[in-house]
Amino acid sequence: MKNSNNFRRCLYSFTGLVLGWVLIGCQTTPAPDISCSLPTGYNVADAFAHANSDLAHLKCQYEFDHYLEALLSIAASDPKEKNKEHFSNFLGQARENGVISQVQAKENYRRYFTADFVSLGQLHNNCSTTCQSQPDVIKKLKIELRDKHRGLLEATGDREGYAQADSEYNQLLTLIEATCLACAD
Amino acid sequence: MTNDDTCHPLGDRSSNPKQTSELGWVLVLTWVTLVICNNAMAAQSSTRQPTLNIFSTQVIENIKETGNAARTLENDLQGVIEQLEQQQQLYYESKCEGAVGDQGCDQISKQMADTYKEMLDSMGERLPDMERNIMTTRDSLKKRLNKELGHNRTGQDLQQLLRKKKGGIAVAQRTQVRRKGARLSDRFRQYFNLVSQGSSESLALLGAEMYLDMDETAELIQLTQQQIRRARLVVDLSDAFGTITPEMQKTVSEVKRIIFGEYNGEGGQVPTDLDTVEKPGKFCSEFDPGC
Repeated sequence: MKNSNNFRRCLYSFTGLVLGWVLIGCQTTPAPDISCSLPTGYNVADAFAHANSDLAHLKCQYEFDHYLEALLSIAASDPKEKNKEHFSNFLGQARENGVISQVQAKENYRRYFTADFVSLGQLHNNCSTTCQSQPDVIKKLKIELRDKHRGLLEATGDREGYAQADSEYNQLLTLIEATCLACAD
Repeated sequence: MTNDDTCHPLGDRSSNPKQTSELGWVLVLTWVTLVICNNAMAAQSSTRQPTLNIFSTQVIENIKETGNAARTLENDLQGVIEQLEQQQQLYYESKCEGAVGDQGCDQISKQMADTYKEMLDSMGERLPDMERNIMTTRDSLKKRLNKELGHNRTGQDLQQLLRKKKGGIAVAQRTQVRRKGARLSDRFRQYFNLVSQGSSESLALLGAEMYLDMDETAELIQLTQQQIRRARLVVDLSDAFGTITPEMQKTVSEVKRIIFGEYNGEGGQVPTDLDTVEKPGKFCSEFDPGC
């Protein structure tokens, strides 16, 4: 009986010590404080590493758009084809971290780095959608062309890709103008 | 002959395990084939669009007729406009401007007035036919575009229609028809040729450009007709006028603009280098559907 009490006392002491050590340990090594600072400088690879690291933390995830903007600016300081891969990996990583969905990742990539225009609707016919808000659609296409200028031309130096986007933009305006004129009574 | 040798359509399966096994395999294979076919068809139908049918036989016939009507109008007017310009040049070279009581100058003025009247008469006679032809073609195109691009397709589909297929019409070639000044008959001849040789992908844009061109031309013809009516009134009221008035010059310019495509350098041109691009960038992202 006495032995049993001794054992229990030892166990409690040991547990207390362990808990105390854990608590002290927690106080002396606090969780790293993430400042969510946007990447700066001209080193593209470092900037992407920085952004990926920050966006792994929930606190920074609301700043995703600002990180993307910052990365586009930094990539513009060293435009090259390889940057497309950086952006693709960045978007893939953001998707893995749950910052953006697969659809958003795809839309972001297409918006900045392909000649495709994501602003055009795909659910209903043109007479009932595109032509009901023709000025708005054209405005969105213009904004998207500007984004392609940033992504394709400035950030990745893809002159041919941008030229194709610019050409398709003009042709789309013609198609929309004619279609909507034909839709009008 | 035993029971085993007889092929019963609904025979006793338990009596022949080999047959049952074979039947099972056949059923499994059929099922697998059906599933594969179904998936393949679903994949195809998700990317396939209805066939584009903008240029019906009627539209093509209208284009041809409008081109012929334009040529007749041009032939009628070419001579009279050249004559008017020569007379005007002679008038200025003879320093007739401001001259009063000079018989030679009066004669040139009279000739100019007659030629101008002749041009107005010719235009007044031919333009209604021309207008009718253009409006018929425009309305046929409108109907097709409304159905094919307006009701049968989405915004994303329009973009798909722009993607060139090998052998399709070069975009630079198409834009030249509408944007560069060209004779009306030449424009229609080019339209007719492009329609005859084009592929369905590029025909959407060609149809759209043609429709906008017709709409603009029809409007210009209406304005010109109004101007001709006013000009006739002025000429009828005043028998003698010394020189080409600004009003007359405007009428002549408008006629030349529509019929002979003399745009005086106005109108933008899409840089051709932008249209010749074929290859996309080298990197292929998982997010790029074009890869």
